Amino acid sequence: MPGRWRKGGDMPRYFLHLRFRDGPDGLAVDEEGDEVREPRLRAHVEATARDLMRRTRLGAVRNWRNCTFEVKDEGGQLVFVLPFSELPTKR
Amino acid sequence: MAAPQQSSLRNQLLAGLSPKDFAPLRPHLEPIELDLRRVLIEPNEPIEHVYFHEHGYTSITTNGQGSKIELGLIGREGMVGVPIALGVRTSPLQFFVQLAGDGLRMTSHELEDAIDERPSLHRVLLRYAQVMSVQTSGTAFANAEHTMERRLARWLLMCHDRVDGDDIPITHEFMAMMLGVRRAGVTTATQVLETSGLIDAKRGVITVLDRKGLEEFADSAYGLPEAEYARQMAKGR
Repeated sequence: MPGRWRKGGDMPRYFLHLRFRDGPDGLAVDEEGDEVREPRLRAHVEATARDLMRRTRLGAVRNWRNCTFEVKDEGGQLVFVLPFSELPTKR
Repeated sequence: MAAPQQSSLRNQLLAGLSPKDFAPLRPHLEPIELDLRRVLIEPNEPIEHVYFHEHGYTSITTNGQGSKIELGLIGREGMVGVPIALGVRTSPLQFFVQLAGDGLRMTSHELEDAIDERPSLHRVLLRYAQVMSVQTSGTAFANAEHTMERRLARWLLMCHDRVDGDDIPITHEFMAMMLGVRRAGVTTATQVLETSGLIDAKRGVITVLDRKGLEEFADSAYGLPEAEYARQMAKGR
């Protein structure tokens, strides 16, 4: 468990910004990021989105399928966008 | 190090004891630094010491098989080691320091002896145990009933109750783990509270801007255990 807090390492870090409604207040900016190897990145983002859809009740999110992950790298470059609506309905 | 004067203590449980109930504890209380993430009680291991926070607070969590989620919080209002007061030497849960600080500790044996000597001291600790049970019930209720935003508001209020000032040092990653949700869920809930002007969130620290507003926002997610603490611990000084 303590390793989860440790900094550094040679793993790249990706930031999963969550667009949950329009406007500047509708983007939950991820300042911490996740350490993931690039080949696993999409699977990681999809698993995160699925877990949110399945278990997380947010007052601000009426329908998770209207949400989008904007995934950026450490340089702030957009890597890809994952609209939750593109995930298969069943897990 | 001299035994502490009761009047100089910040721990409310100790400070609130009658002088006669405090007397048998006093010679055994040993100052201790409570470092971040230090495990005070390991699941199913003998509880060697009980701890009284003067600063900082400790999380009670599931024992970390698979996912870990926070069940309760103990700061300067209480004692880490309630099972000892209940006559039990182990707990299946983990207790670890979530906000670094300092405090006092004594051995479980010494507390048991003091309890045997002073039934009125035991009654105070049993009332505190009841308050902790209500707090855990409050966590269960909040988890079942409330949105992430309200659960976050409750949790921030509980932390705020236990810090000096308005800054709560915490990462989103850690909050996510404590609340049993993906980090994006916490980040979104944080954003909602921030947009409402209730908190200010910077990397690694959340500042409570509007305590009253946060309580109103949390609604029934917050307040029951806190009222129970006030009611129970005011009795029988």
